Amino acid sequence: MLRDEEQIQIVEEASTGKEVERILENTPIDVILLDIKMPEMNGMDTAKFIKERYPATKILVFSSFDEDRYIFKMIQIGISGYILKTISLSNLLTAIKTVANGDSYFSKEVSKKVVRQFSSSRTQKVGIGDQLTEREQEILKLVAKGLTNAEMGDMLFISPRTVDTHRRNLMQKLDLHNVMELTQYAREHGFLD
Amino acid sequence: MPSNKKLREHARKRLDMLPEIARDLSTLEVGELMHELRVHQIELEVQNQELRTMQHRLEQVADQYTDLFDFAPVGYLITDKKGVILNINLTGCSMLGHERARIKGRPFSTYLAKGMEGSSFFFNHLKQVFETNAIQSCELELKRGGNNTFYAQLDSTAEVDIEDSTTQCRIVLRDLTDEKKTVELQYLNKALKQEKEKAQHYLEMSGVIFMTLNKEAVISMINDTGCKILGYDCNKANCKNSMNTSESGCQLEGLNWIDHFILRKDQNEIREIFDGLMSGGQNIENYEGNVRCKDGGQRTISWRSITLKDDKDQITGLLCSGTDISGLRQAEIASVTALLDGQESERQRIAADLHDSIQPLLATVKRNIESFNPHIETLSEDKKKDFESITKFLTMTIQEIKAISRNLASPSLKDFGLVVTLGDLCESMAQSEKLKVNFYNTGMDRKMAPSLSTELFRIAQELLTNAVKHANATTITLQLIGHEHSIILMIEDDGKGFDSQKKRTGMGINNILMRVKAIKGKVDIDSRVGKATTITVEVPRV
Repeated sequence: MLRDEEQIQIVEEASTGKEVERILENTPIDVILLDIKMPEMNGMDTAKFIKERYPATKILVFSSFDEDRYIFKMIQIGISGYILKTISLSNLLTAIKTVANGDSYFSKEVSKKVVRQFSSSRTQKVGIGDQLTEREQEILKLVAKGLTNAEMGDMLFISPRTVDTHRRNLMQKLDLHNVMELTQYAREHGFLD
Repeated sequence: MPSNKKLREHARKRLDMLPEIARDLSTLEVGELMHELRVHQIELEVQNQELRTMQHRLEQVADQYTDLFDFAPVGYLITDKKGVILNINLTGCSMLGHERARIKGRPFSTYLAKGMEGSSFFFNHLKQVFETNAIQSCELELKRGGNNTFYAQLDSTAEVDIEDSTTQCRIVLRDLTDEKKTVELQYLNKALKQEKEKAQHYLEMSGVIFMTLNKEAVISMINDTGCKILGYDCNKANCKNSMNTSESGCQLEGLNWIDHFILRKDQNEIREIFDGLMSGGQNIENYEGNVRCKDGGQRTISWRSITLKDDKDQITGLLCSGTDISGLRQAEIASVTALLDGQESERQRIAADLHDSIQPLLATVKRNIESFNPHIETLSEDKKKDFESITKFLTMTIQEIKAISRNLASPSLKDFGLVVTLGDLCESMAQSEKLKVNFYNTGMDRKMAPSLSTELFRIAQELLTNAVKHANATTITLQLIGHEHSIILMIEDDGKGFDSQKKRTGMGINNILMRVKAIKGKVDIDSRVGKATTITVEVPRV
């Protein structure tokens, strides 16, 4: 389809990141339609490589991956555009031309995701307190009171073994090493009411 | 001592024999004579007294020696040349089982047990005694009292009797019964030892670990196989250490089993089980566990244990027999791993096919259909609606294929790691199932083998699906906690719970169990009817 267009000339095709490297060494490329899933060197590493060595070449990601992860990673790397393989022909042409001109182009769906990412309140790593589950906080309170595993289990309707696992997890999360430290922490941080 | 009367008579007789003394003596001479006589008398009396004292002393000494003779630890006999017993001490009497009065005067042969045969033997012995002048010894069977016999040793010499110059035989009689008993005991001991060694040899050949532990879980005995399996060279010669002097001593005896040979993470659990047994719990038919070997490696052992009790029926320890099933377990794990790997490759392949073939095809179809868009305007309203449906369904199909593909093989795992991918999975589940899914992670900074990542991801997938499907939960909490030597994957839901005592035969749980076992991990399902469920998966971090 692209061959029919006048303004665009397909210079080369490559199936792996390594081939891209080779081609770029020999020929200057304006726009590269880059897939993410490629053998040997995947799209992300290839994009990084291109940005470093051939900054003049514009990268237009052309992928079927629409997961947020991939989009954001590529944007971080510094691509000029991200379109999905379900894109219509006309939009594809527009995208290529836009990117060649130095502007950015994102598929509708991709833009939506980016916007949603910034507007939603994601759980980032806040203080340590936020890292404990509700159950763990309950356990911490009971530890401060000095109950045994069996007693805690009875109160919370879980087995003593589960209680023990929660304690171990707590110690790992809070970087404590024994029961004494755990109890001390519990008391200090106001888990004792 | 002759009586005084006799003495006087004797003295008179002697006096009569003496020459006549001059009759006419002067009074003075008579006086002097009288004085002399009186002095003499006193001298004699003194001598008499001394003699009496000496006699008394001699009597005392004689008594002493008689006691020594009579109560010697061996029997003393004195016989004449013909073997007739002239004297015998009390010990000898009790040996022969008769009173002294009865024995004295009898021939010694009376007390021989073997009749004719013994007789000739004894007389030969006597002959030798009198012919040579050395001590002769022989062993005879003698009669004690009426019926019993015993073996005795005779050590005999010839002596000349002081009083009547006859030659006598002085015999020392020794009861050999105790000595014989000792020899018998020694023989029995040796036989017992041989049997014991045979039994041990059979034990060793069976290739089973035999071990006894005391109440504190200290090894009191462990067989060679046990030592070997634990990686200790149990050539008995170099197994002895300076503390241990017993013959079957082994360097492992005296060590606490739990402290030294159970993996740290299992120690608490094993201690609980052991204490339970010691306080009267049921014997264990079959328990599988890992032990720590000398080289730091592990082996899987299948144990049977029974409690040992003393004669008061108190529990004193534990007897354990174990078979090394590491090979078996490894084979099992290998086959399950192979199965899972096969599954995984299939999934990857199908996902790849979907991604590379189906999706692009559908994308092309969509594009082609969309190229008809300009011509739609010319159609009727109904036809326009139909056309929209087609595009809508096509879009849905593409989404579905994408979801299936994502489910099958998440490339994100390799590119972004387990934590990120799991987080995304939780989010997408939360969205699609309309639940709250909280995801926590700690301590996952260390690098992880990709196979472990994949397995944990699949297990987490199963856990989540299981919780959603069966638990009817509204909130799910998934945690991925990296500990020093293991990783804990824990899922809690607030659903309706199930009785975890009943074996769950659902596909989901079985899948989880199989996968966890293949990576040498453990699963704990904690659930009560009507209450929240907590499933904990712990896998070693190696």
